[in-house]
Amino acid sequence: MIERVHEHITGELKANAHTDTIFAITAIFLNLIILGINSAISGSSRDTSETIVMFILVALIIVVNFVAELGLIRGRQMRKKLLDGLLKMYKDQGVEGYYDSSLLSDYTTRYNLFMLAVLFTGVTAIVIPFILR
Amino acid sequence: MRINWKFLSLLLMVVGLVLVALPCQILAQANKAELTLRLLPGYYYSEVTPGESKTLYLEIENSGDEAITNIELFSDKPKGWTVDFAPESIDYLAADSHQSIGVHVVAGKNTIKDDYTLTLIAEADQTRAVTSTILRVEDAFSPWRWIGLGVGALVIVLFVFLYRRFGRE
Repeated sequence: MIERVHEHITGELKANAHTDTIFAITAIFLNLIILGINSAISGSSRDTSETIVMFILVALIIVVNFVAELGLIRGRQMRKKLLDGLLKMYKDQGVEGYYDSSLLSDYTTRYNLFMLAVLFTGVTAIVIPFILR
Repeated sequence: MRINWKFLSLLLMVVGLVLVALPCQILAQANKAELTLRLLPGYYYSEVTPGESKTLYLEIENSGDEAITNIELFSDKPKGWTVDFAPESIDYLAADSHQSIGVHVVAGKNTIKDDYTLTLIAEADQTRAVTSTILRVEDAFSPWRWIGLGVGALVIVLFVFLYRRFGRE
């Protein structure tokens, strides 16, 4: 039974990593695309309709980044819970010496860096087109 | 006396042609006043800084064959701008001659960064001429910059809130 639980936890960890990668990459990619579109709009014209398009794209950046950041925060918490369970299991089995618990804080740092990357590409995508305008 | 009908019809044809062509010749020879106003190369789409004077150079040309008198120069300018001409008027511009005019433009201090159209008009006793240019206002106060920075700051504050609210382990 414990093997099945172990498989389940490692499967969850894989799915979690996959989902978080998608969140981070999608948000960064979308931020860069919108940065390009809005910079082109602000450099070419000052029409009201194009300003509205610009603001809609800014709203899209905010929503997508909000979802991505929330997803990454939840992903980090989920990973921590799963790893805590795994460590407890290793401890019960007497093999905890093979897994360094400091990896937990490394994962936390990595998630924070992902979140910062998403946040700052988002802020850049919002601010630069307005400065160019 | 024998009438030479061939000669008579040829004569009538020539007289008819002369009668038709003569008024056109008279019209073509009428004196014409033609005023041309153009900005010298390099002064189209110039950049101006709010509150600072920028001088553009115009050339006014009488390309007709009649002298043009009392040419008044004025402009259709954006609100808050000052446009002065040097000279302000030309009393007499002979046929086939031209003159340079300096146009001193000062954009209003509160002008926001954008493209503005300046129309320059020359009105004389005989005719008038119009030209226009686009002036780009740079280094001006732009509310967009502050809107962008404000939205960016708001997003950072939102992130800090999210992190503190949902990020607890």
